[in-house]
Amino acid sequence: MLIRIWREFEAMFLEVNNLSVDLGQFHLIDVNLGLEKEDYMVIIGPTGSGKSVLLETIAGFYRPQSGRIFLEGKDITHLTPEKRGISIIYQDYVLFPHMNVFENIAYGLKKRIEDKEVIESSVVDAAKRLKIDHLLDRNPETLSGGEKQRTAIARSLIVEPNLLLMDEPFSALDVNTHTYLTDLLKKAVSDYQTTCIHVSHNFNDVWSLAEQVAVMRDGEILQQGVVADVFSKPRHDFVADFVGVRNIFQGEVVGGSKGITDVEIDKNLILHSSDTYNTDFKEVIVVIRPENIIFSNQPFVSSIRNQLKGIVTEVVLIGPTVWVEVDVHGTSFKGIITPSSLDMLGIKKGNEIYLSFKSVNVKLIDND
Amino acid sequence: MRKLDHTTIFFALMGSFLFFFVLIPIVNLMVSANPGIILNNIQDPSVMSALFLSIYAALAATIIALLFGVPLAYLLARNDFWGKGFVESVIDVPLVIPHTVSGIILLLVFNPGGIFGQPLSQIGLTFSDAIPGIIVAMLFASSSFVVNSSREGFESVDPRMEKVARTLGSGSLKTFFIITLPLSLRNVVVGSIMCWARAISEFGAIVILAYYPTTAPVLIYRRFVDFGLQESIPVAVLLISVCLVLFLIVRLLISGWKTYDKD
Ligand SMILES: Nc1ncnc2c1ncn2[C@@H]1O[C@H](COP(=O)(O)OP(=O)(O)OP(=O)(O)O)[C@@H](O)[C@H]1O
Ligand SMILES: [Mg+2]
Repeated sequence: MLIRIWREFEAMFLEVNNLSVDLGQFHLIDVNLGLEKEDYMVIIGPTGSGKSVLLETIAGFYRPQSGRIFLEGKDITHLTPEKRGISIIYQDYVLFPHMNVFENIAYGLKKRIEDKEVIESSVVDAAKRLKIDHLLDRNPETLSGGEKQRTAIARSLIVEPNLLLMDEPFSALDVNTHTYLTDLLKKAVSDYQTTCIHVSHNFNDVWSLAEQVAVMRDGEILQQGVVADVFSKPRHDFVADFVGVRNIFQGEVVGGSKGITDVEIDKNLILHSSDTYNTDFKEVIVVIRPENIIFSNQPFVSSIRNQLKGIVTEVVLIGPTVWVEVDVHGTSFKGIITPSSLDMLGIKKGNEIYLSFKSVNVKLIDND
Repeated sequence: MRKLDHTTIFFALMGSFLFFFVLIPIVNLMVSANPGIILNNIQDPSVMSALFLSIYAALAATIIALLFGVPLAYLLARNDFWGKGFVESVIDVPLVIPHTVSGIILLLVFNPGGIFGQPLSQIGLTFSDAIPGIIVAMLFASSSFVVNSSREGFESVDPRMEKVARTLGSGSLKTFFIITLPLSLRNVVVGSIMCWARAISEFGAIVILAYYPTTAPVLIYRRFVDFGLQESIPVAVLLISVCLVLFLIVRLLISGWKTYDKD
């Protein structure tokens, strides 16, 4: 009883607890995930790490050896896939070839809704959102890859799933289509207020879509959390290696001129970026790769736009490189240098130091 | 046109041997039959009843093969289990043993005292020299066509297509009937027609289990033994025509039916 009350108040929208799956050669080991409603999580990890198996287990196609899955506080661990309210999208679309686009999209509604007109208007509405309303009479085989995937997205969203699972949905598409679909998908899932888990090999998907990211290896989730946290504070060598450590800040565009955008990342700490933004006061994520930060003992005159003064808080030797962490008025920057530069500059914990980085190396990512 | 090299010419010469080896005797049979006598035979009730018996007993065998073979085919296409290889081999055994042996095997279990025949005789089914015996003999010899062809069809349907349908709210049985079966229908139909044609042609097992009532192949054999070659030809022509028409339908289905490839 107590546990139930606790669940109702504390449970997250999706909770995967200590999930283990035994596939003989391969195992999912003690997977834990948590998502709030309308969260968007991207799972990344090397090939064979079990991302697809994890998605299909959540969807109900593999029987877990132990652990539980809760969706909206309800234990769905042993429900059949059709009772879970979870949709899935695959890389190669898997549209039903014997049905046209309209019938594909309408497929999941037929069971829920009797009225033909209601079905038709929902299908047209979904198709409009994904800009495929002119293709409704076509057969899947006549569509381009991007059109097929938009059909698959419409087909899965129209049933208003509690959870949308996507297994590398854009991997088979070219770059332009990828960008276009990213925008459409983002809009559509927010219209339908869908909670999403998206498996991807592409870090751009993480930047442009995800609030949460999880890193998988060998059937285990090594780290899950808010994107900026995972990328700036990897808790595992493998995660650091895989994602590449970056300086990541939340920022707000406060001004700019001549192709330079000024972003405030903390009170009075303004960085300059050559990424352009036309609207002021836009929420952005700011990313600076550690190898792009130049260290010096003195301020120097140059065309480099960003020069900051800080205190060294950490010096760590990792393999052939040295990681240096610098505190600038409470904001922490990470840089990477060679051991010989370390000696030459005499960098020590507690020293004052100057950081410089070019405005082209300050990447802004839309955070709307 | 593609240039003909020596290998192609040589292989074509070798390959055409089998082609003509099969074709010439069939054509020869068809042209050697006297149209008038064939017409007489069409009017002969014993010939017509033998032909009809062959066709509809084979149809019954095919329907039974479908009813039990399609579920088996789906199981084999989708699951790996211990002993799967054994199950597959058992299904194919009738293809590799002599049909007279099949007849003996069946007679042993379906005679009125046999392990199948005895309980079934309680409900009034007899097999020796009866139509159920003919059907059983045909089923035994031909059902693997349905299983193997359907299974191939099911294997060509991406299991993830079924998974998508499941997540969209269809139960597994409904998914089978709305997604998997329509997409593999061509294979199921082709397998059924092969099964049907093979069942019509069945002789060896039927001769042993159910010599009466007379099916077309048995009638041909009896005419040959009792009256000689000339008397058996017209029935043979009629039977082969039926089989060829069925076979033609299969070929048309194979070439004309829309296929859905995995993409
Ligand atoms: N049904 C199954 N039975 C046994 N092993 C399986 C099964 N499905 C997948 N595997 C194995 O599980 C491992 C993880 O596979 P999975 O497809 O989840 O990897 P992935 O992380 O999605 O890789 P990729 O990025 O290449 O898609 C692989 O070694 C695979 O061979
Ligand atoms: Mg995968």
